[in-house]
Amino acid sequence: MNEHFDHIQAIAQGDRKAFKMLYEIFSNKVYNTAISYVHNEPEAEEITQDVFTKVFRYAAKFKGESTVNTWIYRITVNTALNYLKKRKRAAFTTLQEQESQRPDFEHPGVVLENKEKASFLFKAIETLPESQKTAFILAFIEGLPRQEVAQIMDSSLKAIESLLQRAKKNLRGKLEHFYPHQRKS
Amino acid sequence: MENEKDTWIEEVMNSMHGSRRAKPRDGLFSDIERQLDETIRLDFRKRQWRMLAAAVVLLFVVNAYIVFSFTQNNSPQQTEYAIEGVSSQSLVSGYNLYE
Repeated sequence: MNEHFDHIQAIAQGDRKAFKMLYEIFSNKVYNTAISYVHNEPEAEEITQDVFTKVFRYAAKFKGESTVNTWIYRITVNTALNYLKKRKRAAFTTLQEQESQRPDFEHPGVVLENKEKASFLFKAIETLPESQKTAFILAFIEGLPRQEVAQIMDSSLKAIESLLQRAKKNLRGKLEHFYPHQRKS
Repeated sequence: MENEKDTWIEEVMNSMHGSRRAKPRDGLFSDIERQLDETIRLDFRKRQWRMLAAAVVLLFVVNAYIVFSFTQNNSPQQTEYAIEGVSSQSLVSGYNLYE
């Protein structure tokens, strides 16, 4: 049985109550995923708004071929990636400050003693290619099972495992460069 | 030194352990509903414009058909026959042969 499918069917009929219930269930997941991509609250909020607007508009087209969870995560990932592409284009055309000059991101949910180290992690995540970034965020920031990550990314479990291996290797390589800065400060 | 660096790297890699999901602010759902209402309103407007455009096109096509039909019915060939018909009519009526 597809959990939350009844909510989607009600939303397809324009039921705002069902929409609010779905928001309450999924808003933290969507927002947390979004903020892991964009590293700031205003943009994460914009992405969250876009995601739920899309959920409402396209609820009638959802046929239940995947779980509602997978569907919403997919919309979130695609919306966040499009946002990053738009941001990159805007930065290129307006000669805005480079990503490396933006202040370090502190994830609001990280325990206090890990905040500084987590900011290095997110700085390193930013440098990953799209697919590795997505696999890492879903598996290690969202804490989703590998099989679910595979469904969201429409890939095989083996491919996801391979992506995660490469992501971790690249992250470690990047963190080696950050370490000397850490020691100097 | 190398051990310290490796330890630091592993600590960074594990720094999200025990963290909670970030939560959006309380008023975000109201903003979403407002955005939704705006989107629905814009969709409705677009549909209205499309219907108007379709009506204008239909009107044009109907008018064009009427004009085309009219010009076909009143072509010179047909007019000639009409004139001939009128002329023979007046000739006949003019004679009153059987009075």
